[in-house]
Amino acid sequence: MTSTQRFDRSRRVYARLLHLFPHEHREEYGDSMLQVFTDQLREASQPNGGGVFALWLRTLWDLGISAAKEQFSSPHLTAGLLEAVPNQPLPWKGVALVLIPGIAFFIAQLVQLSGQDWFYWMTYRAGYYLILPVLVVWAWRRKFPLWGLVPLGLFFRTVWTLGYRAYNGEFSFTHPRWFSWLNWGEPVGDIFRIGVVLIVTVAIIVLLIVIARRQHMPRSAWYWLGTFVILCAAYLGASYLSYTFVGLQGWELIYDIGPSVIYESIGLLVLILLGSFFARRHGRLAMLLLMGYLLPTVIYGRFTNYWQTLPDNIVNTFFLIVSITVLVYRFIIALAAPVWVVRSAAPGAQRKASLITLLVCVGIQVAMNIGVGIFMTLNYQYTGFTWVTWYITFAAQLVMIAGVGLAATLYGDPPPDPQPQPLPLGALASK
Amino acid sequence: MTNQTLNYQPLTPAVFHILLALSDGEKHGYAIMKDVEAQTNGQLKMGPGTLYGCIKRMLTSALIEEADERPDPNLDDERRRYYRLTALGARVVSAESERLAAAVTVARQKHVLTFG
Repeated sequence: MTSTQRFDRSRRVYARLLHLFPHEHREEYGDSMLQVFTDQLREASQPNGGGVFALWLRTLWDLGISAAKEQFSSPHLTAGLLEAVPNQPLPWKGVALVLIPGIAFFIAQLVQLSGQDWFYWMTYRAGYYLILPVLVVWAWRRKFPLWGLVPLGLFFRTVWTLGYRAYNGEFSFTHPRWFSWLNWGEPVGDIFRIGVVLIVTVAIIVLLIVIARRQHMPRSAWYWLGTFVILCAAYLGASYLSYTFVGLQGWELIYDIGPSVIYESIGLLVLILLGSFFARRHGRLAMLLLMGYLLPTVIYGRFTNYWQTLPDNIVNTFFLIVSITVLVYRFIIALAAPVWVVRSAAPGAQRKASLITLLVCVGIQVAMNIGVGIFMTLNYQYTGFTWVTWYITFAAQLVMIAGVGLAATLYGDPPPDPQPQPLPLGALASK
Repeated sequence: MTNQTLNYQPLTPAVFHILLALSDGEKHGYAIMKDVEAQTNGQLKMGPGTLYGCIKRMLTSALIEEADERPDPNLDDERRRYYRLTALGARVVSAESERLAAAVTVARQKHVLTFG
């Protein structure tokens, strides 16, 4: 290779590396930067010019630092990272950050098909740790980043699940060495369970009062809230009826079953109400919280190691279908829905994208639960499926639908377009 | 020293030396870079990324502006962009120089600076 070819190749590589800078910066200064690099290259190629290798070492360091600095100070990216810009689709760099939890969960789900347990690892470990960078940025910038909504929903779900494990007196799904002291082994008492539900219910009422005072709560939101409460009551009633079949009666049954049945629903309601505070900054994109909440949902994905004996056994075939459906579900909730929502321009389109994707996912869950009922009845002559038990199999999903409706009506119009701010005085100072 | 110039102080070394480089006339990017290198005896070597990042912020803050005319189009590439100090930029670099000079005086009085 001649020196001229090496020279041209260095220029071409530098021109490619300029793509590390934000688009607007590259448009404005890319040619000038390439010109300066060419001048440096020409000088370095001369005898006693310092050498091209040394120049590249300096240039790569400079490029890495300055590109990162420009990326983080780019108004376009800042909007994607931290705040929603109403009526504008989220830039792709922001989309990539929103997608990180979904990508991690989706890959884990695929690996699960090979017989490994990554999915459970992801649910019970990443569910906690993905929140850490979000909290760091929140503390640093004092603004909750838009891409933190999915990890926050996920974190809420895993922590809430952790609380449910306390009902049974164990946290065994946490790390066996680090958190062994959390496993006290004895289920908590019924009074404690009811106490938790009462405390959370009071918290919900307080949240509702605060929200109703601070922002306009449309009538449709109250309707959805009423539907949510009615469906919770129906879920409780159906559970009560189903357990009377197995001999439990009266207050003992209510103490025992009530808090367990309603626990997940009141957690969802708390999250939706908390989401309205995030909606004040991020508008309807606060629906991403719900997507994070739904991310760890498992629907009969791992009953057996079906993968080894397919396709002779009808059971294995059935669970293959279920697993593919789970993958479709997870693809929608983890990858397709967030992209559709954050790339939608108009607020109406954001709401439509949120509702359609969430309802499709919930619909898949309901269909799968009904499918399991039909499968068990047909293949095992299982007579335990009455209308009550069938209702129970998808009652939680109906509550979730009401929750989605409540969130869609509660998360109001996004904030107005932020005007571009001039660089503040003192921005160049080294303090 | 006005309150406006105080808002910029202390300047980062890169911004200060770029302003100094432009204090004796307009220059293009590579010339600024070489001037800064000469001012600092090679201790401050900026790459194109740092240079144009600083230039962008200094343009936004109106410390420098882009020159419309080339010094001599026959002698130079027309694609090069030249920059020059604004009145504000001149005041800021002057104020910063005074601040540094005062610091040097104090350093001498305290026998921290042993030469010059």
